[in-house]
Amino acid sequence: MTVKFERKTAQLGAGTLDYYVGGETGTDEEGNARLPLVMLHGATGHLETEVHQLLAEGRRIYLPITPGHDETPHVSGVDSIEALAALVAEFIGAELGGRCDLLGYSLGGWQACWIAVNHPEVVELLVLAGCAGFRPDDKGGMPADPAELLHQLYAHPENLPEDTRSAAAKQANVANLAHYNLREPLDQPLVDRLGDIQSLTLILHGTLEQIIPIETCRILSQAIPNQYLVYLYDAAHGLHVDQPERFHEVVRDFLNRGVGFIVNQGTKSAAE
Amino acid sequence: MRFNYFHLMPYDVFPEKTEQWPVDNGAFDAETARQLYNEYIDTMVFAEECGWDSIGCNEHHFSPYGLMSNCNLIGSALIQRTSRVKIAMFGNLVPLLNPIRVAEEYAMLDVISGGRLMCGFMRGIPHEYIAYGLPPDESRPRLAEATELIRKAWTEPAPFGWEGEFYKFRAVSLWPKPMQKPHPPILYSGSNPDSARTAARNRAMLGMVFIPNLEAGRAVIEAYLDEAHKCGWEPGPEHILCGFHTCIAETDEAAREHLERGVKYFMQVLMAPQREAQQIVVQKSRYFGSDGAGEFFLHRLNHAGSRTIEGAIEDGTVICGSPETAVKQIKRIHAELGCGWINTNMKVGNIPNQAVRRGMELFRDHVQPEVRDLSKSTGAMPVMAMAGE
Repeated sequence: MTVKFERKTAQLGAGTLDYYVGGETGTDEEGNARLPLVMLHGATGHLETEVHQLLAEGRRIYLPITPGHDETPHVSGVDSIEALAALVAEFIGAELGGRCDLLGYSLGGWQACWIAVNHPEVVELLVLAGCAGFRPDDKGGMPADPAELLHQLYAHPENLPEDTRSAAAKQANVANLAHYNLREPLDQPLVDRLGDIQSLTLILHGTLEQIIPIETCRILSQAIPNQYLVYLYDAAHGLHVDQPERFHEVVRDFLNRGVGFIVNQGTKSAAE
Repeated sequence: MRFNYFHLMPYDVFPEKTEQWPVDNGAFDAETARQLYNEYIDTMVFAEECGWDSIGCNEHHFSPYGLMSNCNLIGSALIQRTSRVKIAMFGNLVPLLNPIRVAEEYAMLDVISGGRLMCGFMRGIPHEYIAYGLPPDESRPRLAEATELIRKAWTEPAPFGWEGEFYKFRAVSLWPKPMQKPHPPILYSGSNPDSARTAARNRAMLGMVFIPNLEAGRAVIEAYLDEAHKCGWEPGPEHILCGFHTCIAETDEAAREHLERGVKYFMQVLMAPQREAQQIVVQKSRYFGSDGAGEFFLHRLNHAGSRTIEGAIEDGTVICGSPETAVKQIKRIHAELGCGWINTNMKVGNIPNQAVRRGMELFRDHVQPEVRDLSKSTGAMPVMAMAGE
């Protein structure tokens, strides 16, 4: 059954935050309600893909839109990635009961790290996919040439869903990043605090990734106290687009079973 | 020029001509096999004394064609009894195996040997997929994924997981890791242009056997070099290994007589059972791509036995003769193929073991000194660059 994601607006102290929400809250093996999952999008903004549908089976999913993206208004005083993280943390507190599992993709991963560092009380499990913000010596990064960018984003662009957004709208989203002063490819103040992350963390990296260098994984895996690094085979930066089933399977297992996700449960796992 | 001493470890007293595969093992005698294993291991160890640069093991299943169903076990025995030679694996048949197990066992062998391992990442010949119950169609993508996974397992500085098409390992951390850095040389088999290009894309050494003639061999090598160039690296002669049945005796006539008899037994007895199975796999699966490689393979399979030794010598596809003749043949191979390695298979079929050892002595005393300095640039062992580096 197709999950319909509904667009809503949250009224927060500093301003409004638009988001999509979909999926029904499921229960774990002991009958407890599963925590909601917050998914933070990358630089070009939210694009619903197969993974959103797969993860929404038995799970309530929230997809905040970065203020300024998709013609949403900026929020006063929110002009850095750390401030953006604080806004999302406030959203989790106000709209989700104060605790969630958190998945950040690319730029969203950067935000997710700040949330986990500054607001550990709102994050249960943390997933960082193709995480931006940790590119030493300016390695990687997005190429300027559009064709090369597409090539580096997706090993399997044929998996991309129909995107109704115009090229100008997507470009406006990328331009909106300037509002958050993302000048440094390596967020050293955040690196220095990664050791404060309390959440069990899953780091995902495509084997064909070029935009985020492998050094990012080294930094994250060395600094985050309790983490697992998993490579997604035959995936570039848009790893959830390139390999939606693999992405879903490993993330679902991690969210459902925590550290137990390393145990192969055979067909039982597939039935969850 | 470097030389590998290859051994199939045939069960060379198998009495019957049968075309059934798998071969009925009712005639298997463990005591005979014990003697053969020990004789063969002694012979392989002797290759170090005779100046070979490496000793080659391989992997085959369910047939008297070869008793080495796990080449790592034989490699481990060889490591204990040698000190200089490389141990070259012309197994493991990676798509059939657990790649983490392959990575671990290779790492063990590399460490125990002090960094003397050359690692084959073989796809295997078609019928092996019946033996291990895996779809032949998946052989290439399994090999590609397993290669990346094993490389990661060898080189990652910290634990990692793998979510792939065929393999899922959520927590991997090898103990031990290989001694050679970034990892031991990797060898792919590539006896047709398609396979050779795959080897190049994986930055692997190219191992080529059973070429129909030197011209065809050159075409395979050119495909390899061309693809490597496209992938941003330049293999040298040290990355190219060509295999030949090899029989050296006091005279040309004696060598031809031995090889003729050995090839006849090899083709008519040892190869016969699997020929049928291979035809079925090739015809009923996409083991080979759609570029005619399957037809080429079957043609070669069905016509290999019809070639005379004289014809093979003329084509340059065997090394056979007196030491003087062997030197000339090796020089011709080098000149026409530009390979830095020659893989010698001297125990062809049921050639008597004493004749094999005599040939090895002749190689040591009269052949190797004459060809040693061919391809001086191959003095260095291949160092494997990491893909993307």
